[in-house]
Amino acid sequence: MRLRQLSLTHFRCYRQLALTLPDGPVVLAGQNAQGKTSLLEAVYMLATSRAPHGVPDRQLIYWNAGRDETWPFSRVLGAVERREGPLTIELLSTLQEGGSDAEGPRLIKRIHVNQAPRRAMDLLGQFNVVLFTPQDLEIVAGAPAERRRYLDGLLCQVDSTYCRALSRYNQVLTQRNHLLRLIRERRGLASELAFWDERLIQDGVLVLARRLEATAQLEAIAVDLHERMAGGGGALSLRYHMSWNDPSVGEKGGVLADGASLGEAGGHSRDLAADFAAALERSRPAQLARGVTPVGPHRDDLSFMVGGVDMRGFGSRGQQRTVALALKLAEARLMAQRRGDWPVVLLDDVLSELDPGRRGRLLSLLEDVDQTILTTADQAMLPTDWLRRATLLVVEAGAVRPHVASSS
Amino acid sequence: MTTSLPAAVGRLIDEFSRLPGIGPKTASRLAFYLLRMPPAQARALSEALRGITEGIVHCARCHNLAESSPCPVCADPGRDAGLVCVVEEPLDVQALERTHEYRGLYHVLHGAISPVDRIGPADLRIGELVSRVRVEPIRELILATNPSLEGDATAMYVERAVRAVNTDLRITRLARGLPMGGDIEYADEQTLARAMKGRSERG
Ligand SMILES: [Zn+2]
Repeated sequence: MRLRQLSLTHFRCYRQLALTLPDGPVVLAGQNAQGKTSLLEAVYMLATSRAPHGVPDRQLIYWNAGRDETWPFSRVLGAVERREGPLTIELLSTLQEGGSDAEGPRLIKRIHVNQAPRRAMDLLGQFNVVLFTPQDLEIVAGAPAERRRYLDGLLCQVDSTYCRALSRYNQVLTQRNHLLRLIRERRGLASELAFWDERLIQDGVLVLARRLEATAQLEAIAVDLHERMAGGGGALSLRYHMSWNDPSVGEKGGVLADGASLGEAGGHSRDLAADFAAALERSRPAQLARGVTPVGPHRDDLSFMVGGVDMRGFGSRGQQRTVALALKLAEARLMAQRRGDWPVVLLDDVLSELDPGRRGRLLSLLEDVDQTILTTADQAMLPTDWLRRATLLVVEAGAVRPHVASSS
Repeated sequence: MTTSLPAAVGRLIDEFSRLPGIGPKTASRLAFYLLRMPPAQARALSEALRGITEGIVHCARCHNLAESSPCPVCADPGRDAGLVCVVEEPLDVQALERTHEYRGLYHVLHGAISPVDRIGPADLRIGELVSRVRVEPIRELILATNPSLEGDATAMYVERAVRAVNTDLRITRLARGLPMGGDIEYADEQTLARAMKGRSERG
C-alpha cells in the first residue's frame, strides 16, 4: 500500500500542510526540530490512531492553536492506495476541558474511515505502517515491556481479534488486581476471584497462543534478514518465555521446562489454559500479599540468541542494533504476508546510526516495499544510486518544499 | 479565593465539586452560571433537587426508584410475577418499559461489580434478589446486566448466588447481537459468533 496524500491542520508544528506523495521512496531532509519526525508521526497515527510510544497525546495539537483559534483542534487526513481498494482516513483531535481539573484538558479523538465514523479499534488493520526509530534498540536492550510492545504493536495491526482480547485482558487484570487488594483489606472474598480468573485465562490464552504463533513466524523470516544485515557471526533464534516458567515467580519453579519448542507449545491452548490456571493457583499467596498478578502474558518476555549468546544482556551495541533492524524488517514482512499487501515503511533518522555498509543493506532489503518514507538531517549519507530514484523534500520550520538541486 | 465570596456561593461550589467528573474549575463555572440564571429557573432547579430527597423511595420488592412502595410495576396485578428481569440501574427499567414487550417484574441491583470502583457483590441488591427467589413464585430470571466486563461479572455472580438456593429455576441472559448501524465487516469474532447463535426465524 501507499500513502498518496497527507494533509495536516494544526498538527504539532504544522499550521497547514497538503502533501502529495509520488511513486518511489520519499526522503524528508532538513535540520533537526523542523518537523520531519512529526510527518512520520502523522502517518503512524493514520494507521493506529495513536501517537508512537513516548509521544504525549496532548502535544499533537499545534502549539499556537490555543492562542489564535476559537477552539484547539488538529486534523490529520490521509488518502491511501491499497490492493483492497482506496481508503481515506481522517483523525480529528480536539481538546476539551476534562471533568477533573487535576488531569487538565482531555484529548477527544474522532475517526472517519471513508467518511464513516469508526472506533479506534476498527481503524487498526485498515492501513498498515512499520515505524523504525533509533529507540528500536530497546526492543533488544530494554526491559521486557519493550519486547511485548513490539509483538503487540505488530499483532494489533494485523489481527483485530488479538487486539480486542489484549484490551479485555488488560481490563480484567486491572479489575483483578484491585480485587486482590480489597481481599487483603478484608473488603472482598477470595471466592469473587473465580469470574476474573476465568476471563483472565480465556483472553490470556488467546493472547499467548497468537504471540507464540507470531514468534515462530517472525523467527522464520528474521533468520535470513539478520544474516544479510550482519553478514555472518551466527544465526538468530527467537524464544518466547512464559512468565510461569520463570523460576523467580511462584514458590516452585515451572511445570514445563523453559524453552519448550515454539511449534509444540503453540497449538495447545488447552494446555496453556491449564498451565495458566495452575500458575495462578500456585502464586495465590504472593498475589494476596502484594495485590498484583505475577503470572500471565503481561509478564512474558522474548529473547534473541545469536550464536548461542543472549543478545538482551550480552550483545554489543552493534549486534543489538542489527538484531533490532532484523526484527523490524521481519515485522514489515510478516505484516505483508498476513495482509497480502506491504505496509508503508517509515524510517525516522535510523540511517545515521549505521555504518555505510549496513545503510546500503538495509535500503536494499526494503526494495520490495511499496513505499518507504525516511527522514535524515544529512542526505549525503544516502547511496547516490538509491537517492536518484527517490523524491527529496526539504522540511523547514513546519513547511515542506521540493528540493532544488544546486548547479552541479 | 473563595473567602471573598458569599458563603452560599462557596457552599454551592463545594457541593458541585463532589459530583462525579466535576473539578473545582467546572464547579465554579456552574455556580456562576446558576447565579446569572433568571430567579424562576434557579428556583425550579432547587425544587427539582428537593424533590429527589423528599419524594423518592426504593420499592421494597424490586428496589426501583418510585414515589411509593410497592412501585406501580410491582403493584400491577396484570404483570406476570413469575418472570423477573434483573438490571443494573433504574434507567434500564425505563428503557425496557419503553419497548412495551415485557410484562414481567424487575429487580434493580443498583450497580455492577467493579473492584476498581470498590464495588463488590455486598454493595448491590443481590442478597435481596436471593430472598425474592426463596419466597416468590418465580419461574424465570432474565439477567439483563450490561454487555460489559462488569455486567458479565455481575451476571455470573447473581447466577451462582441464585443457583445456591434454587437449582430448578430457569435463568436466561438477554440475547446479544450486532448493534444497529454496525457493519458486519467491523464486528469482532465474539459478537458475530453470538449474533449467529442467536439468529431468528424469518417470516
Ligand atoms: Zn417494584
